[in-house]
Amino acid sequence: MAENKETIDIKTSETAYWKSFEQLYNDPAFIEASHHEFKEGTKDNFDPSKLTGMSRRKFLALVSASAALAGTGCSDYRDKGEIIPYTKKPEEIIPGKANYYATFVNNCTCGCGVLVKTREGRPIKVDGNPDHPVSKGKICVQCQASILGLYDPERLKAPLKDGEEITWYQADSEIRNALLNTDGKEIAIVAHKINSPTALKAIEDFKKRYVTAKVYNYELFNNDIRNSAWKKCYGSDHFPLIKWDEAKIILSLEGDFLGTEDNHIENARLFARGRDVNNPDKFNRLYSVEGNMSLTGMNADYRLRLRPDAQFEFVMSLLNELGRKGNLGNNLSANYSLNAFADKYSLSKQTLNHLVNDLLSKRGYSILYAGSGLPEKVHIAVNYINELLGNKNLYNTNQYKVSISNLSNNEEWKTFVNSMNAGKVGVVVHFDSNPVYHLPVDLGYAESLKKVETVISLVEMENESSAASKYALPINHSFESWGDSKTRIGYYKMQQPVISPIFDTRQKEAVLLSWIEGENFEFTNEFYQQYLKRNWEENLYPRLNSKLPFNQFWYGALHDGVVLQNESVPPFGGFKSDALTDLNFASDVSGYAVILKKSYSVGDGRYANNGWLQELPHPVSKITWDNYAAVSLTTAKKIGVKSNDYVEVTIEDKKLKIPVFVQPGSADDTITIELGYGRTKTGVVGANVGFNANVLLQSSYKISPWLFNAADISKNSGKYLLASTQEHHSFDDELIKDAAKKRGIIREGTLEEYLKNPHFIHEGITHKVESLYKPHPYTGVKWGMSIDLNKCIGCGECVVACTAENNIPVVGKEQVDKGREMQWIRIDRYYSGSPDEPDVSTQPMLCQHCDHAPCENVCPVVATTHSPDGLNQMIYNRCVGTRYCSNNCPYKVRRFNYFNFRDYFGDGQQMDKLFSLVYNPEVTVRSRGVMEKCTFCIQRIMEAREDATRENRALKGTDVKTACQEACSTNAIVFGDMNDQESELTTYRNHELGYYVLEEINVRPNITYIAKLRNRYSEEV
Amino acid sequence: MLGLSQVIEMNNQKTNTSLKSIERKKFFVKISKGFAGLVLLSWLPFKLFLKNEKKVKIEINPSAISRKKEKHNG
Repeated sequence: MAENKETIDIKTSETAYWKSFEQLYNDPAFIEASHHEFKEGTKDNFDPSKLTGMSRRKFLALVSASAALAGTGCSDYRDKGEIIPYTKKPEEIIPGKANYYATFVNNCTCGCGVLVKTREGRPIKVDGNPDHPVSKGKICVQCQASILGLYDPERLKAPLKDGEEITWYQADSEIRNALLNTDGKEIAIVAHKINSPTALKAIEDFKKRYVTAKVYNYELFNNDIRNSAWKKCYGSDHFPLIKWDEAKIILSLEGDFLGTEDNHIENARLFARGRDVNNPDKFNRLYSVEGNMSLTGMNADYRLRLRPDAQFEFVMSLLNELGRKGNLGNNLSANYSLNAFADKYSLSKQTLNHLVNDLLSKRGYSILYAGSGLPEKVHIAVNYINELLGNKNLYNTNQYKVSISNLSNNEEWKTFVNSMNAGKVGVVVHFDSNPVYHLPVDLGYAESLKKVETVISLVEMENESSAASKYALPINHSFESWGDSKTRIGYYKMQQPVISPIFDTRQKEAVLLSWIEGENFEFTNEFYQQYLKRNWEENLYPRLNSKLPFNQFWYGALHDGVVLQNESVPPFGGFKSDALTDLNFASDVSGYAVILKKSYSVGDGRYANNGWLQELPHPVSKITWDNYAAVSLTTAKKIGVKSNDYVEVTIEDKKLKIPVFVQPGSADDTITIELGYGRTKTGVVGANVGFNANVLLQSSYKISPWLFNAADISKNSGKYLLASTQEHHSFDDELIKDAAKKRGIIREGTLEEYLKNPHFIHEGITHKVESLYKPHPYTGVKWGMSIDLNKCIGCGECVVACTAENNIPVVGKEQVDKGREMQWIRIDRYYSGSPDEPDVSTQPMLCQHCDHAPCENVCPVVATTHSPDGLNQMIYNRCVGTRYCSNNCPYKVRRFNYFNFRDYFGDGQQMDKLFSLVYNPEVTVRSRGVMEKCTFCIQRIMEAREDATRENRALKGTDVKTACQEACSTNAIVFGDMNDQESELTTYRNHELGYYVLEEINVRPNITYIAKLRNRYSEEV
Repeated sequence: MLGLSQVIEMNNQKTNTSLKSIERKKFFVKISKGFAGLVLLSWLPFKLFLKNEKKVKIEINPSAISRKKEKHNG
């Protein structure tokens, strides 16, 4: 990275799109790397002096001895299993046909309802439940990847006492004794938020039996601040859901409603409705004001960077300007000026002017949204502005979030810890929770736990809390569990086991209930199922006024995964002006600001042992397998660091050593760190990955639990490798500088440009695409895809879905750094403009299934061929690994198995018998030396074809949905038959904004990209 | 030139010598040892060095209700 910005700007003035600072600043290492197809070291010659020097005779002797041993010893050792037909065939199973079960995943914060695909009783894929009122067939990445947890070889398989295996009988017996002999001491159950009415009832029953029992709930990330602000403003408990699809103007303040906040799947779906190129008049406009580039900020039409502790001042200044220009009549913000604020923080006055005018002109159809990490006063001020502008229209009056349990507050936690220290707590039960890792260190939870005689952890796999427990009891995975959930009015979610427990595990609620019973109680797997069913029959079903008999209702509920209920949203009432009287107008700004964020992939750390999620490139930075401190270029220069240098972040007496990453678009003096990393007690995949930034959390905070200022950051010794995919698969950039723009890979413009001239993206493009060959006639179905870049938010859900569907291996950080990640889809992320305030464009890039595929011509063994329905196919058995195809692919979408990555990574975890159950039986598992790439989910096409043949009808384009299409929460991907003139795909292919990437090289790709439109004012074009 | 009788005698001597060199007992001992070795080799190394992996048994939960993937229209 160059040191002097002035010289840099001159050098880079010609560049429009760039992926990284190295590319932007013409870093020699980047330029050198771009000349090579493969990373450094791949083609190194071997050094004969490093050979062992073993004699030929000895070598042959060893080979012969090994062969003899292998020949005799390995002749027939492997258990090949049994391939026999069912003697008693389960009614619902047809070998080779998938079954689906509606259920949900326990840890999901998006409220997803899922549909689990099983083959011969084996769950293999998780998709959204189309019947679910929120999911509508779409789910978050955590839900998609949750299936890996079911087959995690490191799950607890039996109860442990002090690390030694014991029987359930012994565990239950000893724990019952401990519970009965607490001498009046407290029995504490520490849990995450409980959304299941039946689980709550089970806990209540437990409390009736053990009267000293108390429950403590926590969530590392929650909406308590937003909800308490709402309660002060309107009196009701929960901030309402927002009708994003009806909003014309959206202002997001340090909020990531498309990325990490609750409901982001539903938010994204609704937001994308306002980005439909077939309804350009209904385009929304998104403004984002934030300290660090988020997924929401990436998709904003206008983005302003602002340190988070200045948000209150900004909102009050905005209120003042709105009041002045719109005669809103408020005296609250008289001491603030938007103009002065813009000067103070170098914000674009033109953008602010647009914002104010938009909010006023679209009153009732604009919405201000504050991020959950901002302090309460910002939320109150935002509610007030929405009230003044009449934006209550956009609060959803049909759906409303509810909580059936509350989170414990700081005082309760402190009292609890004091009780433990004072020896007043006899038993602590970690109810599928990990407070030792999640709670602020200064609370002293881990230390006080040592003073409790009996600590029990109910966990799926060992964690930091179970390691500090006397008993670690294995519990069922979500897909082995029964349950129900109530998070919104209008419906319940139902959970059913799609597989019987694989190990000797029990449902966590059942474990509590079994401790209520006497010594002679005999546990069965149906225990909690019966309890759940009884609770529904006696308590919940009567309230629903269902006309169906209970059993019929029950099976219907399990079948659908949801039970609809006739409930209405409580009225919001009027704004309470009292909420404004207590506002603290003092400025918060001081020192460096620190934002602690939820990880896009591993959440709060519960998914740390999930390889699919760890390897999913961060949607903004493209870094895998790590967290880091993101800072702006100016801040990096100020503290004298470059990306990958270690820094020390200090908040009061808390310190964290972590690598730094220079993130374009970050606000100056702002440090952003994602939590969920640095786990010490988990499986081989997640242990010691990244840095535990939870150490910066504080039990008493000044601004908010996730936002700090007056912090310090300084350079520390050493460097750390951050494995980023952002420069992988780049063009030879020196030859074609700024290829993304010059070669039309990214084409975009403004909505106004489009409305004036719908064909504007094709103007000036004069190349002719001719061929020496006559076009091949595709008479039947011809498969094609369109990707609408207006709807694509770059979240990566398609990447995880593709990984799960197509048995793509996890390769690990070391191999990602070598450019060998295997994901078939990559989300290319381009910056344009200045490093401080860049625009961001994203583009999913996958095999384009070219009609004139250049990969096909160069394969010496004809391992890649073309099908009659337009697919570019791979024949794995023929592939000898020359990699010519990859070399000749203009899109760089082919992936080579340099190793048998399943064996190579994580002590061969992916080779474990249990892990291998996750593989899709319809997709070949590839091994070393084989090239692979997107197949357009050929297995789904073949299944649809067989179905059509069986039903004696023609195959239709709409019969097939690819995994990426199914997962895309914004419906940006459309797949189908290009020859069907009535299809949705054809509408997109013929759209004025449709274009092919690199169409001038005449490879005739079958993926159409719909050019992105930014909803901006024309004078800025 | 050797006479016919001399040739027959030599052949007889050779036959006697070779019969002597293959001792029946040694032969059976060798065969038995070889067989035992083979059996041991094909069984022992994998008993000793293979992880004691439990078989993973997959069982469908009989109480779960399966469905079709498509949107339920009922």
